[in-house]
Formats: sequence, structure tokens, C-alpha cells
Amino acid sequence: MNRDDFKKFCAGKFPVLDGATGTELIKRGMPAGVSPELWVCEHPESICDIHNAYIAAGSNIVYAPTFGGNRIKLAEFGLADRLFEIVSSLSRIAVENAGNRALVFGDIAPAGRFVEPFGDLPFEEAVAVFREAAEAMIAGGVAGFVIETMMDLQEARAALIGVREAAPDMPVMVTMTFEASGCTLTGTTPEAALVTLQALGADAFGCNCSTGPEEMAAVIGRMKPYARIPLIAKPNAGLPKLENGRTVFTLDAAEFGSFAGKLTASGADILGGCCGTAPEHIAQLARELKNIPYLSGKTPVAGVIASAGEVRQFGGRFTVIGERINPTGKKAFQAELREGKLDMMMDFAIQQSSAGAQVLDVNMGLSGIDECAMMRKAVCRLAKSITVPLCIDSTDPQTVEAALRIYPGRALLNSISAEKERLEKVLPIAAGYGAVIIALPVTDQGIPETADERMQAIDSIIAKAAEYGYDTGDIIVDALIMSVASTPSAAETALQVIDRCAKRWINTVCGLSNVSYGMLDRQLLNRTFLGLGIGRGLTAAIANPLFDDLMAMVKAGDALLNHDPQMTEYENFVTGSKEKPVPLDQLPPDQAVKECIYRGWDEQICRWIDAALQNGFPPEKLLNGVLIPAINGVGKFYEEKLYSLNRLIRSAEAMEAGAAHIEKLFSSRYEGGEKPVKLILATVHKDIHDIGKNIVAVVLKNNGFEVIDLGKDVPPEVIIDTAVAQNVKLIGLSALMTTTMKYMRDTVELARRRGLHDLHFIVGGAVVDENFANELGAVYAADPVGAVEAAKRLAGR
Amino acid sequence: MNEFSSLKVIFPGKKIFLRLGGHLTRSRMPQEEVRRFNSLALKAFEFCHPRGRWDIVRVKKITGEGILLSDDCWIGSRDFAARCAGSTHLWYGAVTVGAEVVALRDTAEKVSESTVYDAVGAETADAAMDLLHRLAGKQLQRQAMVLADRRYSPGYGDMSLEIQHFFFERLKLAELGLSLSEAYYMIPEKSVTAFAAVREEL
Repeated sequence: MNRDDFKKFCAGKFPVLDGATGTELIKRGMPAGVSPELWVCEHPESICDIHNAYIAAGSNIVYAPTFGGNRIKLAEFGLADRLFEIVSSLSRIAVENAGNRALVFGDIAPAGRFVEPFGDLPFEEAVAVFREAAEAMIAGGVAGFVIETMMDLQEARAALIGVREAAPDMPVMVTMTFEASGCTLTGTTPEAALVTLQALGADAFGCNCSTGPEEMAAVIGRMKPYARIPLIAKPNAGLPKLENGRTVFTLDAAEFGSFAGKLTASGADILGGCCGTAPEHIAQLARELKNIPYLSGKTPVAGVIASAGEVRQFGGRFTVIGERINPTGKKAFQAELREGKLDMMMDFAIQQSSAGAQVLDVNMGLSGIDECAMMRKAVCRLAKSITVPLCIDSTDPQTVEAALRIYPGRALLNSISAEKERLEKVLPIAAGYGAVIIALPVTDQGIPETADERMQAIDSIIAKAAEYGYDTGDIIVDALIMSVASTPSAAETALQVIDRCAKRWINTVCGLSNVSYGMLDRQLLNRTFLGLGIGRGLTAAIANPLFDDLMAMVKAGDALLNHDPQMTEYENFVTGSKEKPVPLDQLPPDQAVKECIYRGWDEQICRWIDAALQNGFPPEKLLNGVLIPAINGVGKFYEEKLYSLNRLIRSAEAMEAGAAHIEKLFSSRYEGGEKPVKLILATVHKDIHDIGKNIVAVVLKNNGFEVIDLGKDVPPEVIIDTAVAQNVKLIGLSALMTTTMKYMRDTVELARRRGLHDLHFIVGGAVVDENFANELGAVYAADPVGAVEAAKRLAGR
Repeated sequence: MNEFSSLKVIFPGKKIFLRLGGHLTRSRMPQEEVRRFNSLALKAFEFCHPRGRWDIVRVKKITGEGILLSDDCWIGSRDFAARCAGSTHLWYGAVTVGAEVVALRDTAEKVSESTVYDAVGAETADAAMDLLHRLAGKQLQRQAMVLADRRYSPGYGDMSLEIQHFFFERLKLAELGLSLSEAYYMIPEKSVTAFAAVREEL
């Protein structure tokens, strides 16, 4: 069967798949702990019996029993070297048994290891593992393939590429398992999985296992708007529950079949069953499906790219493509790349995605480095930590292929021009991996001057791309904005291109900052051009999202053009901006000092203290009237959950920096104030967890205590000896483990044995509670603020 | 024994924020604070290298005091035994995110940074255990077994921390770079062990 045959096979009806195989094999005597593949080879009648039952029930496609038939899984049973023999035999047994009653698809399931970049299994090795399995299945005569029960998008991609390499024109269905949360265990949404795998060449996509039909209908419904290929639903027979000490699935055959209508209404085209389903479930499902009219016609949205976690659609809401990951003009970044490092790239990526970029452009073009290797490395590193989709920016075909092959999503490719060589070399690569492309109106003769000429170049790219199966919706046109400093008509020409594309519903993008190159106040020109472009229908810009004014214009544009109908994005942005702090130089210096504490700005506080002192503010008043009330206010906000712990600590650090600065300027920190109370802090013996203790130390210090921090794993003798030697009456002890709590008791008892009855103990830590503290005769502190209160109380302050 | 020498953990941003005392709706997070927090947290996440191992063992007998395994090993815990009623097997697993994130935390210049790094390590380890547990559940389901959703770890309720030895010996955790201190905490500390009940489906 080829891919076109499969399309025809699916047209106008709901093909029916089989149900569970594993549990059916167990029913037929397969013992636990054996290789199912080998056992079925030795007991071929078992799978024939199961398939016969499913075919009789109405299955049009049954899965060959090759679920674990790959080198990695077979190796667990010492059978890797017999892969071809076992997998081809299993396929042949199933094919010969089915005859012309049903199609047999080779079954490919996870190899059990995470694939690069998310795991340690090299991507190309994973591809080879699945290619080898597919070759054995082809030898056994399968009609097509099903890649099923995939939990990780990258493994599904590797399997699909592997199968495609073995069988370029055979149909491949892919199903993944989506949890009740609506995502795979590794965080991929149904939309992102579908968009990625459909672009990569899956002939049908859907979900199997994990949930019952009710939940699966919701997952299918999410995919429907993006689907160009048939959608598959192969749910469990409900959710497992305990009944009379046994685990059973909740849906019987009649109940399971009754979900046929709901699943098809959600968008499912091909249906079957997974765990807990038996031939009677499939029979009921097939009966129900016969009564449901097939309504064909999918109108999927186009221009959608995806990362492993999320999708981004061009058109509608404006898309900002972060431009910062590009070594041009960035000397420090260039130096890092030459050393093979990517830390600065990660900083750019994190900053841009946090600032609201929906796509990140990645350019590794730099003389003196291996662009292809560095791009692959960059894509792997970004894909692991950054959820927004990537735009691969390169003119080198090898680099483009390396990036698109490894990227666990559907990337945007920047760009394909109308130059003959680029069209011939890069377009097939982009099409092979299903990338959405940016079409650059540049020809072999150079950059066309007029909008008419640019549209001709664009049309030539669109026409060529159509030969590779591209829909115009998956092509984003670069309006090719040039600097108005050198070409005064550049902005108007680009706007005309945007205008003409918008009239043909073609999405457009521009490299925004080009417009202002060589001009004064570049941001003003960039923003203004952006506004003009949005007004003409511009759908995306490659820009720097760290400019708040630019992002504000994008949000406002979406709101005004009804691309943000509930105005939620706009309101969130504006509300967020309100939190944007007033510049400190607009405040009196003492207020600026106070704000530094509230904002946790330890690097700026000294400057504002100096300014306040120069304005005649007495130091003791600054300390007692500004710093201390501010840190108390922060503590109150923390208690009210308005501030997180981290913000409390940052404020404490700012307080510490401020107080230390005053102390440095004036010999006595607390001149005219109270003398600081000394306090010992320690994490107890045999316990190395000191993060909580460190936090308490910082907060105590800026509440006027002199903290003697003895560190972690401190024996009782050291604590008590220090208290005696330094004449300290307050001791704070921290412990995280039940096994180390006893050293709190040992420390307190040591003090009592030595007759040190005036020593006061404050105890805290994850395993400590008030009862334990009471038993010890100590005071319990639940958090840093509680520790300060306790210390103040015990010190009589 | 099943091993994942790397586990694809989803960045647990919300849990990290909650662990740091944040409140999802009430806490004030200006844009700049969000950027700073994300930047620190994602940096630390890059220093986490989640990996883990799991296995199952047949249960011989469950009493009111604990669980006797098929190889006569005894897991003493009334609380956990009560949750395992009807179980045929016991699942046990261990994960770690490695020592790099701990080193990052311990060398941070500011306590505010080390607090974020610590939270990232802890939450990533928890997320890795969630993932290992769910992956095991999928695999066991194929063998007609159901893995209970709820886990139980040494140190919970009445289960002694000494039981950490069980995991270290059976899962050969030294091979994952883990060691056990005299006080039974794991080194690197951002590591988690857990049990869960398993029932046969048929």
C-alpha cells in the first residue's frame, strides 16, 4: 500500500483499528517477564486467534505483534541479534493470517530511552533503531506502519524519520499518549505534536492509551483545527479501578461503543481500542460507527509552527520573533561562539522569551566557526530549556538540514530566496522536514527595487514551493525592509509589499531594526514603522522584545485590530506595566532608599544612601526611620503572601548592603541606636542542609542582630563552647532530617548539663514542629520572619 | 531493573515559585522580577541532569506491621502496609538531578540566588520522580499490572530513613553517583526515593 492508497482507504469512512493485544496474550497464557515478541513467535496461534477475533469484530487494520521489536527492547532479553528474524516472522505470521480480510500495520513503540536533546540516546542512533525495525517489518509484508504509545515527541520524530527512510511511500500512522492533563508526560500538547508530526510526513495522527474515550475526545477536539490528516482515537476502556481486590476497567463493551459519536464529533476519523478493550468492545464500536455519517472536509489553519511544548500561529495575533541570538555586531557573543560556548545565547533566549517573544531567531553565522555544528548544538540546548518555537536563520543548506532534523518541533526557516541555487538546495530540505518558510524576495539579479518586482519574486518562490506540497499559508513573506537612511523610499516599498500580501491573505514579516539603520533615535523609527506595518497587515517582526515600548505597541495593535478579543493580553501587559517601578530619580533620596529595600535592589541602595546623607539626612534616622520600617514592611508583605520568600531575601540583601554602607561611612553602625544582640546560628551535627539557616541569618542581620554563623554539620560541643566563649545567650538551630533532629536535643541537653540555664534556643527546619520545640524547652520558628520575632522576644527587644 | 540515564523533565516553574513562598494570584511580580526569577531558575534547571532507576519485587505477605517481600526482605511501616492491601508487587524507584545544581547553589554569591537554585533542584528532582513513576506505570500497564498513583518514601510517617539502604543496594545507586550519609540523607541531596504499590490487572 502506498500513501495515496491509504488516503483513499480512509476517505469517506471511519476505518476501525484493533483493541488491546498485551492483555489478550496474557489471557492466552503468556507468562510475565518474558519477551512478548519471542513468546508470540513460539506461539503464533495466539496472535492469529486475537487478530481473527478483532477482524471478526470489524477491525480494518490490525497491528502486527512487533510492539517491542526494536534493538533496544529486544536487547533486554538478549535478543537484539535476532531482531530481523523475530520481527519479520511476527509480521509475516500476522500478514498471512489476515490475508485480504484486513490490513496489517507494523507496530513500533517506544524504545524506552529518551532521545537527544532531551535524553542520552543520540538522535541518529534512535533513527537507525527504528529504521532497522521497519525494514524487518517490510520484509514480513506489512501494508503500513503505526508508531504508537509515544510519550516523547522527539522519539516519535526519530521513529517517523526512521520509517520514512526505510519506506518513503508507505503509510505511517502515529499515536501518542496524552495524560488527563491534556499533555504527554514530557509536556507536549496535542496541537504541538500534531503540527510537528503532520509536517514531518505522518499520514494519520492521534492518541492511544492513558485515558478513556471521554477524556480522549477532548484531546482530539484540540487537534481538529490543525489537522490536515485523519485523526486517530484508540482509548482505553475507561480508567482502571479496584473492584473486589482486582483492577478492572470501568467501561464494558456497550458503554465503550457508545462513545463513538462523541469521538467522531470531536474529529476522530480512525478508531480502535487500547488497554482494557477486547474484541467485544471493538465489535460494539464498529456497530456504532456504521450508524454515523462520515462528514469529510477539514479546513485546517496554516502557518503554524511548534516547539515540543507549544504552537504559534502566524496571522491573527502579532508575532514577535526575538532577534538577539545573532553574532552580528556582538563582540562578546562572537568570542563565546569561537570558544564553542553558548551561555550568552541562553541568556539572550531567556531574556527574550521572558519579555514576550513568541519565536526566537537563531543565527550562528560567524567566520571561523563550524556553523553547522554550532547551530545543531544551539538548537539542542535551546530546545531543552526554552518552550517558544525556533526560527532557524541560515543560508547554508547543511546547517539548515542539521537544525531542522534535530529540532523537536516544526521550525520556521529564515529564509528561502528566489535565487535558483537556494530554491534548488534549501527548499527540498525545508519541505522534507515540514518547516514553515520565510520567502525572501531576492533574485539572482539582486534585490528588486519596486513592490511589483518583489511580488514577482515572491510568486516564483510560492510556485516552486507548491511543487513540494507547500500551501501558501505555510509561507511567510519577508517585506524586505531596508534602511531609509540609504533608500528613502524603502519603508514605503516594504509597506506596499505588506499591503499586497495582506490582500492575498499571505502572512508577512520584516527585520524591523533595518529600517532605522544609520538614523538618529532608531527606536522611534522602529516603533513607528511597526505601527504603520501592523496597520497594513504585517503579521510578524524580527525585533528586540526587550524594548517595552515596542511590545506595548504590539499588544495595543492586537487589541485595536480585534486580534485579542477579550483584551486579556493587552490588560495583562498594561497591568504588568503598572508594577513597573517608578524611576528612583523621580523620588526624594530617602524614599528611593526605601524603594531599594522593597524592590530588593542591593546594587543601587548605596548610591541613594549617599544622596540622602548629602541632603542632610542623619544616618541614624536613615537606619531607624527608613531602612528598618521598610524591611518590616517587606516582612509583612511576605506574611500576607504578597511577596515570595525570594523577594523577602532580596530585600534583606538590599537592607544588609545598605546597613553595611552606613556602617562603613560611620564607625559605629548603631550610633545612637541599640547595641546589636549576638546570636549563634548552626545547622546541627550530621546535617548538611543549610539553605534555610542561611536565609534566617540574612533576615536576622538586617533586623539588628549580630549573627555568628557556625555553618552546617556542627557538633553540640562546638555550639555550646562558642556560646560560652563569645558570651552569647541566643542560639538558633536548624535541622532538615528526622535522623538529625536528635542533635538539637543533644545540644540543648549539653547546655543544661553544663548549667547554662540562661541560654535560649530557637529551633526550625522542615521536620521540626512546635511540639518538638516545646519538648526541648526551645522556641519554634516556622519561617525567617518567625525567627526574627522569636529572637526579638527572647532578647527583650 | 529499568534505568533512564536521562529523564525529560518539564521545567516546574510554578512549583518552584510556590516553593519559594509565592502565591499564584496574590504575589506581586513586576515584569523585571519575573525576568530575573525566570533567568535564575532556568539557569539552575540547565544544571539539573535528572536520571533514575526503578524495579518491582513480588510481595509475599502484607501484615499490620509491614510488608514481607518474596526474598524475605522486610519493609516495616504500618502506614504504608495499610496502603498496599491487595498488592501483588512493590515498585521502588530512585532519581537524582546530580551534583551540579547543588554546587551552583553552594557557590552562589547571594542567598537570594542560592534559594532559587535550591528550589529548582528540589522541584526538578520531585518532577523527575513523578515522571519515572508515570513511565513505570505505562510499562507495567503493558504487563497487565496497575501501579498505584500514590508514592511513599523513607522518612514519611512511620517509615524509617534506614530503608534508604534498600534502594541503594537493589538499585545500585552508587552507579548513579549517589551515596548515603551516616544520617541517611542522600548525596547529592537533590535525590528522591519512593515506593508504590502494584496490583495485577487480571
